Amino acid sequence: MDFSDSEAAASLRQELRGLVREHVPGTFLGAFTSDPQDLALAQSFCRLLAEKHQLTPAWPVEYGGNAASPWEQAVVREEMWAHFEPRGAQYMGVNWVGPAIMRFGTDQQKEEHLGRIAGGEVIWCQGFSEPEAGSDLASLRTAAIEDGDGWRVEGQKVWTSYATMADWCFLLTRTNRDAPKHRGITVFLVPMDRAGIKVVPIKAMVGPHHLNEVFFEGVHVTGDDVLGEVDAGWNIVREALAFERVGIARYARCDRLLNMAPAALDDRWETLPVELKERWAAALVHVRQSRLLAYRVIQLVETGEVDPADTAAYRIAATQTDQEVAEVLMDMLEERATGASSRDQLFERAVDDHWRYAQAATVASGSIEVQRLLLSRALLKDR
Amino acid sequence: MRTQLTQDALEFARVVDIALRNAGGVDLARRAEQDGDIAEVERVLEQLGLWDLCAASDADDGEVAAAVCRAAGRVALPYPVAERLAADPDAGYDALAVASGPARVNLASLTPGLRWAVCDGAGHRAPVTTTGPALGTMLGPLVSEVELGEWGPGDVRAERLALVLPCWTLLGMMDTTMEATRRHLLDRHQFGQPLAAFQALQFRMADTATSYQAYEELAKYTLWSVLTDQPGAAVDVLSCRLAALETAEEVFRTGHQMHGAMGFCDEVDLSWLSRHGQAMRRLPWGRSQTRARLLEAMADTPFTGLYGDGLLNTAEAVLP
Repeated sequence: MDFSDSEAAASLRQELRGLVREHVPGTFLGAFTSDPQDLALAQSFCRLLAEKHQLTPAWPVEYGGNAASPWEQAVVREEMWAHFEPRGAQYMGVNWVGPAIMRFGTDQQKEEHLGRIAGGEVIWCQGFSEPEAGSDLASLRTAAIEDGDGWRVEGQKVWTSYATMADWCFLLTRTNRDAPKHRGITVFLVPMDRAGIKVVPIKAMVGPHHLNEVFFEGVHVTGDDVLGEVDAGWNIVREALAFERVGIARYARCDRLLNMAPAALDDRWETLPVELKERWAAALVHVRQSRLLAYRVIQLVETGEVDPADTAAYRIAATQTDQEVAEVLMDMLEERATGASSRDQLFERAVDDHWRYAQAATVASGSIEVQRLLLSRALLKDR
Repeated sequence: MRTQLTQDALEFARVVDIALRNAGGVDLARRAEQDGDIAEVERVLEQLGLWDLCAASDADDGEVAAAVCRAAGRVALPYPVAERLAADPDAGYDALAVASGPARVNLASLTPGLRWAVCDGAGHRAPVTTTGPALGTMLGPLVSEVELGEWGPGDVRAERLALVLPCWTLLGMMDTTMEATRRHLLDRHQFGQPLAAFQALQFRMADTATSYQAYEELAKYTLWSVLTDQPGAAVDVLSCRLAALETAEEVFRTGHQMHGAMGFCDEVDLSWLSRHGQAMRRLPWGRSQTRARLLEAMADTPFTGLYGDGLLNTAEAVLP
């Protein structure tokens, strides 16, 4: 066994840390704030990464990547999330929209989209959840109705992250109401400035830009916008979501914040109850376990043996640990946990942000209950 | 990054698994508790050639040793496999356990021919001078009171192995418990359907399986850290023990709850694994003591993470 970074991964990690130090100010706590400069900074940082082919390192060279190993891709995920994701809203495009287009797209779609995603020039949102289709995504109702040379899209999506700033939407629609619900779904790649699309932001505790409603009223789409085949979108969604496997490296930010705590709290660290410090120590262990579960999945990806149950176990552990760490850190802030606003209280603001976002960890990208179902089904198969 | 044990280790463990199962499996523990008879166990282990392994000086042997401890745990083997594999006979002791103060040591009385020693987890070692009879209690059937000779300097690698190898034995006990529980959920019917069909039980099983997988990965990481003398190895062994205790509590609790009353019966292996696991979970330190020691150790040795000192030597203490 060898749990150390490979030479390539270690060198990439140092390079990324250097880029962050040089180009991302220490006050940066994410692109999605009320200050538009944060988003602008993320966009320029993305282009910088793209110039170095580090935005999509594991993509094939012909599509703007570096043909790097999944371990190097993991390094990018870890370093970016630990530093409050200076890639901004690139997550979806880079992690699974691009790979889905590589797998199912026409030559024209590959030409149009892949270079722009690898170049950090475009933001995608996912038109998945609907008011009546959350965890049960396949029951979605947004309809694409045949109309002349294409379809007319009518319906509503909800919880759509980045919709206010997105250039494109990976849109799931129902094209056949008579087919069983997992069939009759079609994916369209739709520009967000197409007539009939309206975005309404939802104010929420996770912060601006994370949650939106998107309304589709008579939006015209054509065969050129279809990804894959008509009525075969569910298979694309299943495969697309499988591309991301381990998703966000939540453990990396947890690791960084926990390690900062003693120095950031300074004299107050010494006065904390021993019981709380012991929880801090245990949380560090749990964060390491989450990281190792992510590595387990990556190792299985490398050998082609991974199945959804392995990913599910990682997600259950990582999301719960995210929330555990949030509670430990908030306890450490004591009365300061109720609010930090001035610019010299960065640690408090970082913890505040982490706690709010961690509340969504067990809900977003497939709820923890869905992960438990996936894992238990695999475990309890009669074999 | 290679997160799997060597093929040699896995293959050796498979052979040990088969040999122990053929020799009686958990029945070996039933026999030992009844009359202290471990002759068959000793014969099988001798045939397997385990005692030629040098876990302390050879990393490949260390991986084999861990896999063997896991196999021994799967049948709650009444023999100090981990303790012998952590020891260095050339340094004058054949079996090494962690203990401090007036000591209780598991499995010592079964092996009077071995030269036992204990280490205190802080760099000191003392020989065992007298071993009392097995307590014969429900929760410590093969535990003995021992008297110790004079404390002297210990060996760091051996001491860390003496902490981490029993964690692998405990992992083996969890392997069997998880599989038995899985099987029971499929076989046992209530309200006209298998227990496995109830979502409350599915969810509990999923959470327990997650903890168990996470612990397995940590056991591998910690073994690597010890065998390659990573800078954080001193705290890594304590963090592994903490996770072992947390996970064992969850795995055995889930096992008992899912089995219902059947799980307490002596005819069911779970009952034996659960009782014999107690010595490993309580000696030398339980969960609270281990957590306190971990925090204390972290003051001297940074915990290696992506942003701790150590592995990548890139500590970033404060923002930015």
